[in-house]
Order: sequence, then structure tokens, then C-alpha cells
Amino acid sequence: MPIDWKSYRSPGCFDELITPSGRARPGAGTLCQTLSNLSDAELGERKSAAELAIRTMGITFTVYSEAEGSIDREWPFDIIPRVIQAQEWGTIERGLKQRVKALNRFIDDLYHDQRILADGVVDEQVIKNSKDFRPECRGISPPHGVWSHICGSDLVRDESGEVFVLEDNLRVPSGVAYMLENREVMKRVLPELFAEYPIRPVDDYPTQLFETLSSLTEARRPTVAVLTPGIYNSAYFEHAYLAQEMGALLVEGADLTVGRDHRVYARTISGLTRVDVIYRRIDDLFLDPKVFRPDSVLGVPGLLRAWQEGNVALANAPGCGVADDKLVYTYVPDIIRYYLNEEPLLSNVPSYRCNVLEEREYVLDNLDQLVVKPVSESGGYGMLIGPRASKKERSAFARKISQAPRNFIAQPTLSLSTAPALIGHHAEPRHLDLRPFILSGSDVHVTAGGLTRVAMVKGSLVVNSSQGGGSKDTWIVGGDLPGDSA
Amino acid sequence: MLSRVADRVYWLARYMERVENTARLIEVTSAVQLDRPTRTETGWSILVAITGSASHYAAVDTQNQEQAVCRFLISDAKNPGSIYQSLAAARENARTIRDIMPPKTWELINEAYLYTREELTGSLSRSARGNRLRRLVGHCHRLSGLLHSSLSRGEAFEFRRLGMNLERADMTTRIIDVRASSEIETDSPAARQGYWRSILRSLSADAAYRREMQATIHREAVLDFLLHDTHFPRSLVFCLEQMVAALKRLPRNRRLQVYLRELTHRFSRNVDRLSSDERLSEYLDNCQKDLGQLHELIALTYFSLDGHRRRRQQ
Repeated sequence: MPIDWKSYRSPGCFDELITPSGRARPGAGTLCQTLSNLSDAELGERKSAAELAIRTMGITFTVYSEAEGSIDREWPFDIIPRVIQAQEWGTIERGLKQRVKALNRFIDDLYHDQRILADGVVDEQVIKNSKDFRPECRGISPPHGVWSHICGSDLVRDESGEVFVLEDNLRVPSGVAYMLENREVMKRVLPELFAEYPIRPVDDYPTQLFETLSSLTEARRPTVAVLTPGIYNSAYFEHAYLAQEMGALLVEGADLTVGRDHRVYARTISGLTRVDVIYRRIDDLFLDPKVFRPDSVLGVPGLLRAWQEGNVALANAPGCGVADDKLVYTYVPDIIRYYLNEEPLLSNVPSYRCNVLEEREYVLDNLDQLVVKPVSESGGYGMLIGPRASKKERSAFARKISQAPRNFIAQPTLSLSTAPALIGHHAEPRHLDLRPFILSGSDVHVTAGGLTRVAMVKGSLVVNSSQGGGSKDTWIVGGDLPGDSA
Repeated sequence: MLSRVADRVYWLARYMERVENTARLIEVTSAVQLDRPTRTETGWSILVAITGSASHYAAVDTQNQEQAVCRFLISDAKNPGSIYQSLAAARENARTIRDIMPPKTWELINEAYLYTREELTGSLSRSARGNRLRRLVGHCHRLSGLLHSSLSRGEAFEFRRLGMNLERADMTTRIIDVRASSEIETDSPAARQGYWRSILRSLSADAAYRREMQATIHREAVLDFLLHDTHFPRSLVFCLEQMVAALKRLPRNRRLQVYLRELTHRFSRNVDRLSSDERLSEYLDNCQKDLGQLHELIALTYFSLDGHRRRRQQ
């Protein structure tokens, strides 16, 4: 049986493609029409084509398993793309630029005059107790005043269809290589649709990334390196991919050395080669064993000093994680107003700060309806999803909150939007989010769309690939669209 | 190119070459043994010494020499030079340099690794072993073909060429050594000729030999061919020439070039002077030592991170 959109129903959530009455949303008409014209066999063929493309293109992510050590899994991919209209995307794009601009101003302020604290807009305690605030960064002025050069902000929609920012990943956000590869796979799977739709391309990202990184140095032909923790990192595929696409060196800590001149060099077969910009994909604390964790073998001794002296650019800059703290997140709308004198274009998910007495009491009284998040974790780890947790889990979590209230924020449980995913030969609703990437150097770029992550398990809200999530291509479609009336 | 990456490309090539040649070594030994009118067990245990892995062999059960030695050389996880371990190491190396090798490289090596893990373990009958080793060599050829047709002729290609030819030169001397060490006084002239033919066959050299040296197969001619022929890709001299060509396209090559010239001169000793098996063995041993030195020099020049540090401090 071909896909019948009339019988497709999202479980009370906003669906990205199909209205509650079973019609295609604006922009998705041709897509839905094309899909329902395919027989089961043809759908199966398209799906196999995608799987084959993923295998032959070697798109993998790494999972650690006891039996095999580290193994590469093929990237789980759904062939039904998600469609966003260009006009709506325009607003989102402006909102993201605004947000990242303000966040960079905020970080720069924290490491200089701390005006925002002096003016009482953000509580001083928030910074004092942050485990990502680095005193070593005080007084440093990175080029263009930018600290977070590559930011990945997670967007979700509620049941009304409004877009919210769920969190900002300012440290080492990953996923962009999958965004690029998803598009390549889709071009092989549904090539006929690319002829009919004005879909914004995404493949300019590596060039923009290279330009962003190059804008951080005076060197005319800069040597750029991607610093990876190595093949056992779950995002190693992406590190290698981006290095290759940019023509950059893919280095591990041991490949670099800092000279007595406090400059950074790569060990090459021709001898030592000066490195101007490092796109580092390792956390702050592993960057430099002389300053941070002395046991780190991933980093480079002396790297921080080289950066402090302006001899090498680090992207993202050390210390930018201070704004990645989820408690700081709750202040972002105020931060935007304070630095830019503008109203935020994108909303935050309403959040409760557990370090504020009244808010904490509300959280503890309503744990069964809230999602509680540790402030400095990423990847969906350490969360409590109240409505799905047992009573025992909730009371254990309540104790954790009372012991260290600064470490938690809570948000209402969102009914994340859904989009149809191909399960067997049927389209079934699955929850998803969207991670666009924002590049900031001398210019600011936002990816056309981003990485759409899907919870492939029915009813699940967890989209992380480390926990059973998949992904789909994201289409920003604009201009006159044929077949919209379908 | 990063030193670490060069190191891994070089070793990837060496490991894959070692896999192929160890398979050949076992094949030629089987053939030599079959040609012998009376079986001798020493023919197998000599392989352990020839592959330079005696120190890992002690603990192995020695009831049935052939089975024990083959298991040791093929699937023993404790023998770092076994086919299985070489493939495991090649696989890890390939994984870390996926961004600079043709995309299918890792997949092909992984296939060979999985094949070995599944099909080449435990005790195998002689015919099953032979068939499977030949298939494994086929896997190796697919990889060579892929790299030959799709690896850009840049630095990675040259480091592969260095690693592959060094390992190949080394293994050619070892394979000749099998022959030199298994001949016994009582062998008939026909049997002797048969052994030399097996050697040629095991190096896929029989047809090339015949074209070059006519039909007669005898000791001096085979030695001359395998050591000095300038067209056959597994001859010692050919391998050295390949390394010279590779080095020409790499930076900081002067010391290595000088050393290689010295080696070429030393290895081109007239075969008349290798008339006794003792002399031949000694010559082959020295070749292996010299190639070991060559490796050290390559590592010091291009891979050794400490080497860089020392040079900077001077």
C-alpha cells in the first residue's frame, strides 16, 4: 500500500509536513505527492539506495562497545526530508544571528569588565559558580571579539508550531558533517525532487568555515588544523570530513608542539610547520596539560600561552563554555536586550532556575510535569523527564536538586513537533529537533537549515545519535513552489 | 604531510605486504614439503626462525609441527607478526588515515580482516588452508589494485611505496631462505630443481623468470633473477630502485639516498660468490639487517617525533 497521508496522524503535536486534516503543509505538496505515488517496492528501493549510499560513502559514527572496542556504525537516516519555508527560515536565521552576536558580546564582557554583572542583569553567582568560567581567559581579546566561532543551537517547535531555542551549544557542537552528507544521500535517493524544488544548497559550509577560521589570523595563507581527540571519539568521522573538505591538517595533540617562541608547530615530514588557526574539537580542560588537566594526552603543552599571546587562534576560544551553561541560557533574552538593545526574535523555552528559592519549590512540587536538566551537560545525559520517570526516580532526583540547586534548571515537557518517517513501508510520526550551525568570524553565516535529528523509536523524545536517534535531510524551500495546493 | 600520518601509511603498506608474503611463505613451504620423498618436520619449524618470531613461539604446542606453525603464523593473536595480527594492525592504521586514502581502502582491509578471523582460524586441512590463503592473497590484490588506480601520486603514495618495497625486499630474502635452509644433502637434482621452481611460483615469478632466463631452472639463475632482475617487482634490486624513486619525491632525503646507494652496491654481489648455502644464508641475513637499518633511518627522518625535538634543540 502506498503512503496515504489522509490516514497519517501526529499524536497531538505539530507536524512538520502534514496538517491535522491530512493535507500537505505549504512547501511540502510536491514532496508528499511524489512519495504517495511510489509503490511499496519503489519506496523500498529508495530506502535501500539510501542505505547503500551511506555505506559506500562511509558515513558512520563511532560507538564504543565492550566486545568490539570502538566500532563504526552506519548513520541512521530517514529518507523523508523535513521542509521549512524560506520565509519562516529567514526569521529564524535573523534570530540565530542576533542570539549568537549577543552571546559573544556576553562572553567578551565576562572576561573583561563584567558590566552585565555590575548592572545586575545577570546574577554574579551564576558566573562565580560556573565550572566553565576560565580565569586564565580574563583580559584576552580574541579577533573580532568573537569567542564562539562555531555554535550549534537546538531548535524545537511546540504544539502551536512556534519555534523555541532549546539550548545553545557553544563549545564543540557536532553534527554538521551529517547535515552535508544527508544532502548528498538525498540527491541520490530522490533526484527528481531536486529538479522541481528551489531547495537552498548547504554545501557552502566547508568554505564558510574555512573563511571564518582564516579571518582569525593575519597570515595571508594560513595553515589551519582540526584538532581531534582521535579515532575513538564519536565525532571522528566529522573531524576527518571537515579537515578534508577544508584542505586543513587533521591533527592529534601529539602532532603539535609549542616552541620556545610560543608559537604552534605541526610535526610534518618536512620538519616543523607553523600552525595559525586550530579548530579544536576537544574540551577546554584537555587543551593544555600545563594549565588544565595535567594528565591530558589529547592536548598540547603550552597551547594556552600561545593563544594568550595571540600567536595562534583557537576556535572555539577557551572559556566560551561559560555561556553554554544552561543556567546562563535562562538569561539569554535579557542578554540580547542588554547588549543589542533589541527584542529577542527567537523565544527561549520557559525555564525555572533551581537556585532561586521560589522557582525551586515550584520545580520540586511539579517534578512529574517537568524536564529537569543538569546545567553543564550536553548530549541529553543526566536529564529527568518527569512524566516518564518513576516515583522513585523522581524522588532521587529531587534530592539531587536540593543538594546542588545551582546545577539544575527545569522546563515544561514540550510536545516536540513530529514529521513522517518511513517505518517499513508506512509513514509514521516521529519527534524531531533541528540544529542549525552559526559561524562567526569577520562575518556571520547560518547554515541553510541544519541537522534534523529524529527520535526513531516510537514516542521517544531522545534524538541523540548516541541514544538511538537518527536524522533526515532539511530543506529550506523558497520562491514559487509548484504543487503547493496538493 | 604530518609525521604521524606518514608513519601510518608506511606501516599500513608494510602490514599488508607482510600478510600477503606470510601467506606465500606458508604456500611455498607446503609445496617444498610435498615434493620431498620423505617428510621432515624441521621444514616447518624453520619458518618461525625465518619470520623472525622465535621469541613468541616457545609456548606453542609442538605435537604436530605443521599445524602448530601454521596456526602460529596465521591466526595466533599472541604473535605480533601473524597474518591475523598484521591485518588487525593494518585495519587500525587504515582507520586513522581514512581521510587521505581512497574511500574503499578501509572497507577492503576490514573485509580481509573479517575473512581471516572467520575462515582462517583453528586447525585447517592442507587443502582448505591453501584455498583460503589464496583467497586472502586475492583480497590483498584487490587493495593493491584500488590503491594503484585511485591513490593520488602524492606523499601518501610515496610512503606506501617505501613501506611496501621495504617489506617486499625483506620477504623475498626470507622466502629464498626457506629454500636454502630446507635443502638436504640427499636430495636428488630433480628434487632440487623442483624446490627452486616452488620458490619462483610462490613469488609469482615463474613466467617472468622463464621469459628472462629461458626454461632451465637452476640455483644460480634463480638467485640472480630474484636478487638482481631490474624488471621483476619482487626482486631485491627492483624493490630498492622503487624506494630510490619514492625518496626522490620526498623532502629531506639526502642521508637516505646515500644509504640506499650503498645498499644497492652491497646487494649486487655476484651470485657466483653465493655458491655455498652457508654463504647464501649469511648474505640473506645481512640483507635483512641492512633493510632493518634502512627502516630505522626512514623512521628517524620522517616519523620520530623525538627526532624532531632533538633537531630543534641542536
